[in-house]
Amino acid sequence: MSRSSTRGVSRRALLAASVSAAAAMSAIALMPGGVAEALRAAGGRPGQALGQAIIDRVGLRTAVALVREHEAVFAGASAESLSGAIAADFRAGRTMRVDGWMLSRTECAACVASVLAT
Amino acid sequence: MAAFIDALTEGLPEEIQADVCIVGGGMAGHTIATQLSNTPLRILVLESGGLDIEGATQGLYLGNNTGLRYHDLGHCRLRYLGGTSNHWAGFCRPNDEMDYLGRPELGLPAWPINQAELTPYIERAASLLGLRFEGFDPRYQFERAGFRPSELMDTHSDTLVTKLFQIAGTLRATELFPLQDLPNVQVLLHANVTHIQLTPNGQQVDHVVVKTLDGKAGRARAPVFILATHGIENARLMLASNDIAPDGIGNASDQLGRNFMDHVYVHCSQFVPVAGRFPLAYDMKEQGARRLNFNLGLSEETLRREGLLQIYCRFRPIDLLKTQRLAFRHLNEGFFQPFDTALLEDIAAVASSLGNSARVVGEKLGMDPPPPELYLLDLRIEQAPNPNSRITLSEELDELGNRRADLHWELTELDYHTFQRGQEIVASELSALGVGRFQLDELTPEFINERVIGHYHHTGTTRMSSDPGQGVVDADCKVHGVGNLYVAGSSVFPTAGYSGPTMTLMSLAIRLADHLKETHV
Repeated sequence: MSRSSTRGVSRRALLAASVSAAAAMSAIALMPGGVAEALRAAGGRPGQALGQAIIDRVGLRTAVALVREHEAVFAGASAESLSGAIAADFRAGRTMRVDGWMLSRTECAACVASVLAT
Repeated sequence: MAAFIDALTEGLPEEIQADVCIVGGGMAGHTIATQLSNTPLRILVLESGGLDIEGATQGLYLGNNTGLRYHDLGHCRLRYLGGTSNHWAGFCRPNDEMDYLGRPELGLPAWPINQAELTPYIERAASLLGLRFEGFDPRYQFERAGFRPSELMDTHSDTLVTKLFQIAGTLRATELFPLQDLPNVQVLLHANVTHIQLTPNGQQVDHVVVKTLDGKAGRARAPVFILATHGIENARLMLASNDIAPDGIGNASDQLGRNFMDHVYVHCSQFVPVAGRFPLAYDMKEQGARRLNFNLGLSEETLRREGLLQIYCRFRPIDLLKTQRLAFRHLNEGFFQPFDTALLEDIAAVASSLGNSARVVGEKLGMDPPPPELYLLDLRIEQAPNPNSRITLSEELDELGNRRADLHWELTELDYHTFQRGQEIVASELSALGVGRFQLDELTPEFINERVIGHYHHTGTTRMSSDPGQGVVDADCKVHGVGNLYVAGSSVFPTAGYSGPTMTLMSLAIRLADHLKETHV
């Protein structure tokens, strides 16, 4: 990530988010069906590009907070627990629109995490 | 044999007498005439058109759209024997129980009859259409069509409900109910009813005025008249017959012509299914091959909690192979032709997506095509009754000297809200079930207004109500305040409900015929 894009976010928060991101990256691979796979089939933008779009939209601080908010979800996540978290998000209205895509906050956190981890 | 008389070629009597005079030879008129055929009653059917579509008669239906963009009034209804059944697609389903109950919090009036009362007539209508009543059960059809009942979304969700339309095999009223076989039925073709003449006290119909396009005129008299000329014309004729009742016949409620409703739909958004998780039963192309229509509605609890009208969602597959299919076709057709540089574009199309091209080749070789990867949403709602959405009399006259109909069509905030929120709920629930993901259009009023299309389901303009202050006809479809005038067809529906109108209007027509048998035979 560029220096300019980290403005206003402490190094400690970024480091913590990166730790979460690493966990989220492995969690993304467990996601049943795979958001990225589905989006790619439609010519959409896979997870990392979506993650950047989220950061651009909400700002880095909020995006990092989104990832931190889901630390517990990503830590030791199984396909089943992730599915459950995603389903609960959709049913509770915890969603975000990114390029028109309706995604759960858990998925959005994972997409942001995939950016932070690079 | 019944008499089919063509008023244009065989003359129009000055006076015609019958026991029951049915104005309009569409699905409602045919149903009633057939149901009364086993009685001693002499039935007269007055049909404006001939046996096939003709420009001069069809032109009588021209009118103006003064509100939201809508179909051309001269095209969305047909004016010859069989009426609008001549372009009916055959989709049938009984309305839901909640459609009859009314939802005053949303401005939806109750029907003066409930589902239990109408069900026996719906069963008879379904039978006449060659449909099994149990066939409306999605589980029944899922199994028959070779789908697993476990694939029904209802199995996994309290929010989504699968609803099913069966498609009738015989569609035309003239084929379903051949009137020429009925000895007590006389059909007068090219006989345009231009005026309903009330008695001076306004409480009875004395006669109707009948005219031909070549200038002949006559009168038809009967103890009972049934107006069955479709949702727009029923209202127009009653509004225009205003010499005794200046606001129109049966219009003490000021509801005549108002509350024009259709089932309206938009194509929008995109749905990407997760491979193997989206049941093909909900794929519109798969359904078409089976002559069934499975669609997703919202549960009654969800509709009531969210304050939404009935909404349904269908999934229209987008052909991602279209470019390559066309390219291969061009290459095949042009193989033995002199070289054309346009073929270079086709070669590029094939080369640009070898995966898609391989799939097209696979199809040609008889391999099963892969399931679709992308769908367009087909969202349809029932419209809310809106008194400002209405039929009025135009200042323009038709060739018979009658004022034409103007349609001022509007949607309400509730209609727009139902589209937007209904889409969100469907998308959220299917996403929660892991079936796929949605790229959603924002269904703003502007978006809807640009794209919304009606289904030719013209309802509400002479609506039923037990209260003469709220409707035009009563629970027996008799016009309030007029002792011998009935209205048949979907114009009597107080609400549009979930389903298309044809089978329901047939059931009401059967019910009306039974009522007349009890009271007039």
